[in-house]
Amino acid sequence: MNVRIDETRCQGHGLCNFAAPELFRLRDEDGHAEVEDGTLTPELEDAARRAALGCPEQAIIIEE
Amino acid sequence: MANSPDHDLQRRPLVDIDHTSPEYADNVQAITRDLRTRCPVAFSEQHGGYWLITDHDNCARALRDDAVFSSLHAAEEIDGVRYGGVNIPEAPYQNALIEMDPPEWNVFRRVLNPVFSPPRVEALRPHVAEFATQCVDNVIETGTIDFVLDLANPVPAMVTLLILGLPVEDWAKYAEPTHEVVYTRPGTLEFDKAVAGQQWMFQTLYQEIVDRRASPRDDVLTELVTTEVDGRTLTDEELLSMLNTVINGGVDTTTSLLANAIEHLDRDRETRRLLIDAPELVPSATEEFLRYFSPVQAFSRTVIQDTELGGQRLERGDRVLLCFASANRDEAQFPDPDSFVPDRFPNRHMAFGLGKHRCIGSTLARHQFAIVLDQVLARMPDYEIDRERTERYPSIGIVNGYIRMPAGFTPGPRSQ
Repeated sequence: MNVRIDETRCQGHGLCNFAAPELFRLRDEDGHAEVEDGTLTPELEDAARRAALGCPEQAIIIEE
Repeated sequence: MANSPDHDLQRRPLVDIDHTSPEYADNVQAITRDLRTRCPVAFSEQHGGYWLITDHDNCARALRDDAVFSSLHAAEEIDGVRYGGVNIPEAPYQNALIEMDPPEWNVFRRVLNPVFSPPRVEALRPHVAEFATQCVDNVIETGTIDFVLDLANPVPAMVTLLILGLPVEDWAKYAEPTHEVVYTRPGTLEFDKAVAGQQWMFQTLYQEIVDRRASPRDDVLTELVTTEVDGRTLTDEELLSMLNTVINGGVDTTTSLLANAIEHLDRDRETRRLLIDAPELVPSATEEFLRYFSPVQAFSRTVIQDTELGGQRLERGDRVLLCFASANRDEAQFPDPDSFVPDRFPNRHMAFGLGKHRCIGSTLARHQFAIVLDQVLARMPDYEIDRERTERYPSIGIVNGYIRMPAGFTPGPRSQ
C-alpha cells in the first residue's frame, strides 16, 4: 500500500503535516506537501487515510 | 453575448439580496440556508448585478477554475469585459496577488512564498506568544478587557508588522483603517475616513520601500524589494499593492476569527471547559471555528467564458459572489452544519479559500489563533462578555468581525 500527493491539486494548506508529520513534510519554498517514502506500513495506514480524508483539495492518493 | 439582456434577466432566478446590507449581516445564516436549498446559484440586481453562489460544490468548482472565473481587478475594460476583482462592490484599487490571475499571479506568489514558508512561520511562534502575553499583561490586573481592542486587534497587527520589518509600535495606525475600510460602506463618511487612514499607510509604506532600495537591511521588506522573478524586481507600485494585500490579509481576518471564537465560548461554556481541560482539541476546534464563522465571508470572481454553474447559464462578463460562509454550512458536505462540533472530522471547509488562491498565511493564522486563545483560556478562564456594549461589524460583505467586545474576569498576576 502506497500514499502519494497529486501535485496538480495540492495547494499547501498543510493540514496533512499537522495530522501526520511522520508521513507528510511541507516544502520550504511553497509549503506544498511531500511524501518521502510513500510505502505504508500497517501502523501508518490510519494516519494516511485520515490525512487523505481531511485534505481540503483531496490531493492525497492512497493506492492499495 | 448571444441573447438580449432582457431575455437573460427573465431566465435568471432573481433574489432581492444585498450581501453588504445590515439586514444580510443580521440574518446571514437564514438567508443563505434558504438560497442554498432553494437556488444555490441565484441572481441579485444589486451592485450592477451579480450571482450569489451558496453551495459548497459550485463554490469549490469556481475557486479551482481560474480559466473561467477570473480574480483580476483591472482599471480598464479588457476586450469589453470589466474585471472587478474579488470584492463586490469593487475595491478602490487592485490588491496584488489576490486580484491577479496566472501567469502574473505566479510571479507575485513566488516573491511572497518564502515569507510564509513553514520554517519562517515556525520561527514566528515565540514572537506571537510574546505579543499575546504582553497584551494580556496590560489588562490582567484590572479584571477588564476589550477582547477586540486589547487583544484580537493588536496581536495580528503586531505580528504582520514584525514580519515585514516595520515598526511594531505603529500597529494601531495600520490596524484601524484596515478594519474600518471593510466594515464601513462606500459612500459614507466613515468609509472616507478609513480611506484617509489608508492614505497615511500608503505614504508611509512608500517611504519604507524607497528607504530599503537606498539602504538594504536584513528584513522582509528588503527581500521583497530585491527579489527577482523572471528577470525583474517588482515596481514600487506593485510592492505597495503587495504590502497592502499582506496587511489586509494579516490584520483583519485573524482578528475576526479570534473575536468570533471568544464570543462563541462565552455562550458555549461546555466547549470552553472542554478546551481548557483538553487543549489537544484546540487544532480541530480551530478548523471548526474557521468553518463556523468564516472570517472572510465571500470573495467574487468575473466570468470570462460563458459557462454553466448549478444549472444556470453564466455569461462572459458576469460577476459571481462565492459565499464561503454559506458553503461552509452546506449540509451536503457537513452533517448537522449549524452545530459547533469541536472535533468535527473531516472538516474540509473553505474559510481560507481553495485552489491556487488559498490564503498564503493560513498556517500562521492557525498558530496565532491557538496561541492567543490559549492565553485567554489559561489566564482569564472565567471571562464574561458585556453583550450590551459588544458591537459587531454593521456590514459583513467582506469580513465577519467585531468592533468592540468588553468583558470582565477575575484579575490575575502579570507574567512579565
